Amino acid sequence: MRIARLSLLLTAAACMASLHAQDDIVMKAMRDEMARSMKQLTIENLEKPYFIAYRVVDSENAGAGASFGALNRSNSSRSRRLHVEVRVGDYKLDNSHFFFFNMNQGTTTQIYNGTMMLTVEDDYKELRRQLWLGTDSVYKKAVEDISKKRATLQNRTRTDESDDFSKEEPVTTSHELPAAKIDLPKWESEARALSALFRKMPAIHTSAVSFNASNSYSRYLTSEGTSYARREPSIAFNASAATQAADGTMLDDFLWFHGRSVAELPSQDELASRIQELGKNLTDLRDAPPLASYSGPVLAEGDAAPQMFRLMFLHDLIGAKQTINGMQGMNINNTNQAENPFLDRVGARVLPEFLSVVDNPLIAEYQGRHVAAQSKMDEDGMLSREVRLIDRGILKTLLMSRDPVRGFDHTTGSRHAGQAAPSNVIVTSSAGLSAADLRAKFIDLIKQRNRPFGVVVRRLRTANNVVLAYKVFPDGHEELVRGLQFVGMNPAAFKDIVAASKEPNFLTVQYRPAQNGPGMMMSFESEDNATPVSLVVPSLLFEDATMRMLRVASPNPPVAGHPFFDK
Amino acid sequence: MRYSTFGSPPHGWRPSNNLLGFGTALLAGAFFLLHAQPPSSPVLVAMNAELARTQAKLKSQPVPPYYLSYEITETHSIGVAGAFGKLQGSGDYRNRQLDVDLRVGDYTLDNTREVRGEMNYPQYSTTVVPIDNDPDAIRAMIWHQTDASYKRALDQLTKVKTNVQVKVAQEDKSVDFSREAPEHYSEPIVDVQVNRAAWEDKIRKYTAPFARYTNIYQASASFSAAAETRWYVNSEGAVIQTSQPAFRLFIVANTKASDGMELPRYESYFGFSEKDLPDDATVLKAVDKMIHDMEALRVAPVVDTYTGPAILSGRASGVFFHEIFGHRVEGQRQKNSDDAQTFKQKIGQPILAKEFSVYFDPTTRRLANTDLAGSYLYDNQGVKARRVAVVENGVLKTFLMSRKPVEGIPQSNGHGRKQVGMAPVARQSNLIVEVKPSAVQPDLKTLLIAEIKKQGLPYGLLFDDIQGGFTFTGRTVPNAFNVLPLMVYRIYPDGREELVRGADLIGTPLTTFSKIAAADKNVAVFNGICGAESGGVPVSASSPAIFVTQIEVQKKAKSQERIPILPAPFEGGK
Repeated sequence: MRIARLSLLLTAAACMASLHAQDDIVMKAMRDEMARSMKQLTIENLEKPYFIAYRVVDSENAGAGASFGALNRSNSSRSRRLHVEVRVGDYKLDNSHFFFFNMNQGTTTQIYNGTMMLTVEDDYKELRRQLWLGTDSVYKKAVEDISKKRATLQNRTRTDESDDFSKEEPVTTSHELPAAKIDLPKWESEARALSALFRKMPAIHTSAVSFNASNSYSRYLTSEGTSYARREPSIAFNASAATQAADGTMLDDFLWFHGRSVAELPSQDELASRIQELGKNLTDLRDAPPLASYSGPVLAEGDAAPQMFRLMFLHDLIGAKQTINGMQGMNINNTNQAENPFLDRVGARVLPEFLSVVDNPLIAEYQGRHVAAQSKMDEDGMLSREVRLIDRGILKTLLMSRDPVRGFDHTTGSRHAGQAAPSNVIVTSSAGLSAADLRAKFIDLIKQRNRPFGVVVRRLRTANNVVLAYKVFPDGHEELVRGLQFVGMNPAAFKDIVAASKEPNFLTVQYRPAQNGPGMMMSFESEDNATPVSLVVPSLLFEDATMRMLRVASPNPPVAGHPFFDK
Repeated sequence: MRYSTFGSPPHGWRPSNNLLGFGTALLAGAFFLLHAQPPSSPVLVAMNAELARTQAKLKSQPVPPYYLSYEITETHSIGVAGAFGKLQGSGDYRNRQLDVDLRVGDYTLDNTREVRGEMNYPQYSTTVVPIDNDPDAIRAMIWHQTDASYKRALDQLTKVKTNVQVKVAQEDKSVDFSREAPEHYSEPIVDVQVNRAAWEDKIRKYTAPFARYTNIYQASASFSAAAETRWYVNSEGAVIQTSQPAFRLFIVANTKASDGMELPRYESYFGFSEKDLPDDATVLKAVDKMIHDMEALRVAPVVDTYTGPAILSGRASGVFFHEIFGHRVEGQRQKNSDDAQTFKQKIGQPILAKEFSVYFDPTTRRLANTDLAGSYLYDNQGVKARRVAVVENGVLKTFLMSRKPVEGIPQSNGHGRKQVGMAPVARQSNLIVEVKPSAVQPDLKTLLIAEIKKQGLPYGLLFDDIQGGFTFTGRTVPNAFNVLPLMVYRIYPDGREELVRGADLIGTPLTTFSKIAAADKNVAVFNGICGAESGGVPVSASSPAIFVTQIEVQKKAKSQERIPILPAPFEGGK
């Protein structure tokens, strides 16, 4: 069975490799159906499309997962999806950014949210059929939406009068990285071996490791003439572990590594030592005392610096357009509809003068270490570029897709995972301190403030879940504490950072754009709405931060002990 | 295709006297350790070891569990899907999932009782366990899940006890969990292997004929070969290992009339072995018929409101009985405060003509030359499957029962079923409509014509195909008891047949049942997956064609989406 599966994959890989001429049969079908639709598609008296985009994504996925030395799964799949975007109206006001869901829609075309499954085999006629039916269905929804949107806007004032879609010069590009080599048998045995490390960690209750790889090949075409072909390989390693402290506090953490090839992942030995470290940290945390509250100097280093930047600052550097809710009476809570305060702060200081921030999707590595998001173009087909977001503390611009927001009319070539999103975020300090100097400054600050200790944070999951935090005493010794959360940390707090390190911390995360409106609720959680983002951030010294013990009800520890260790 | 066995050699499990003795002790509420000869499956070894350990460790808790069961389901499935002559996907998957049923309280009142006034929506939770036969790794997962289940059960029991105190006394005075004899059974583990490339070709071949048409908007086929192995143990002493293969082929196509009405056609095939699936010629003939039916439906007149006699073909009658009757005799529906409880007060009363009986029989594996998908040996609560006469000689006798009793029916009849990850409830198995010779007529059409003339009607109706929730094969189809007639003909007094579209069956089931007057001899079987609150379970429905003296039909609501605006981008044709 395994051999059969492997050979099928090899065949699939070979097929994929041979497909990628600029105008292959898929691109030709897209081009032909698009031309016909732009010319002829209209319902009597209603508007014709002014913009159509097709995206066809071939993906090959494979993964193997194990826990406690035994394989949980090993599988692979292939699929081809079509995304259709049809805009009616004009650049100023069109059917986009409007949420309306018609329960009574026909089921004839198997298309949801503009996405449908295609057959994986190339056939011009069948591709045309699916493009035809997909475009038809999305167009009908577009004309319905724009009339409802116009009606909704008649009764509402808008805070954001920006256009619905930015006008950009068409671009033709391609970017094809070599496909990641899929080696399930190897990952199966590595996953078994790495997950078996937990058989020597009696304090850990549950654990799992997995390898997941995908090779996606996207073809994109717009009626404006933009097109691209892009192959994106991706291999990720994940390990997770959880336990409980004696008082029931849940303790869990994970590792996530990403690369474009196996070579970019840490070696098996490195993974093993990181898993040992993960296990040891959780084990130590079980016995670490809680800290009721703390207010004073905080040093973020290791993973914590990029994680805090990502969780507490980065979202305001993204220009996200608000969605208009056309479902009257439907109260949708999880919408992130508050206006971004940075819209009005361009030219103002948002970070200390020694810090600058760029987003650079063009690089594959930084200071000799690989970073995740390397592409010549974004998902709108716009050329990728280095975007200087903050220059010596002053906000210069926001990351933009082709969805304008108030004051930001054009793209920065930054559409990833369906929305404006970061790629490789590099924070640099013009006054970076050596690790020793930064620590000395931290201790000085503790002393100045007459604090018995300061807090250094090395890892967090969310603002409410600080995993690794240590009391640092004036004599330099450290004590692990557990169960802390940050209180009131927002982008304003970053303005008061007092120092940063010279050496950066690297972290790559799976980034999902904030849900920006009710429509997002309906989309599926898939690799399409997540993108790897690398963060390169120096260690950061906050003069004042407030932290307190996270108080949530926890279940009691397990009644019976772990069957493997409790003998 | 061949079956191969792996793991333990076949060895039947016989309960020892010793075990039965323990079983009796358990009825008094005691926990015990299983002392039987350990089974050789490493999965069962792990399950039994953890079961015994949990019982020992939790015994001293203030509220110890009174019942605990583990079920691990391994699914190995090979699937191929295609559309319009091309492949959509093809894969080979194996996984194992664990279900834990841990109960606190006692048989009379436990944590599973309905909390009235609260949303009692079904919960899906899945626990993946290793596919490697590593008892340590499997036990680690069982342990963690058991602990979580125990804490949930304790919380829930508190809620249940409060609810019992603050609400009015429950109408139904039955207890929460029935006492059943522990079963012991082991059959050899089977696996499925198929030539996937050959099935990829078949799926292409079966869907290719649709590709010629510009007005067929969906046409796909899927094949699956799956071996499902279940290991089940409980604290009452049950130890069960079953392993069954299933082969399915499903074809769906959809067109639209010019007014936008959706006109789908389905075909489904099932067998316990690959050779039980039809050959290419049979499938291609069915595909041709689907195409022909869709062409005819597109131009067929829309049905008018109608009250009068009708014939339901065997397949239509099977689906009709499954949806309209079968779901309403699932035991828990007589108990849940939110259910209509249509048949609750009808036990012992005639609900059908006295020549009609309705059985649910998971032990019948084959009928009318067709394998029955709703067959199994033990249900998901470790209760042995058996034939249940729900309607005998027209009289309603009992309900389909899981281990959740209803008033007057204290025992399970082996119908506690579920999809992995869900909690079991009473579900259907193989529904079989049987008719005594005295009500069998050689030609129902003659009967229908006579009835039309008698009632002075211009025509009668023939329902040749009905779509119900279980005519879909997906596991994700929501709870659907409604029926949608797909192929309906007007039969005129002169015998002429005219296809119509857009019929919607209305009227109450009890009234419709009282009008079923005769049947023919041609039993047809429909195999499918039925979706309800405990997820998707394989079922079948078998019935001869039936004659109903009065049925009510109205025009169905149609889709608002019109046919495609632009013509197809290619030439259609034959």
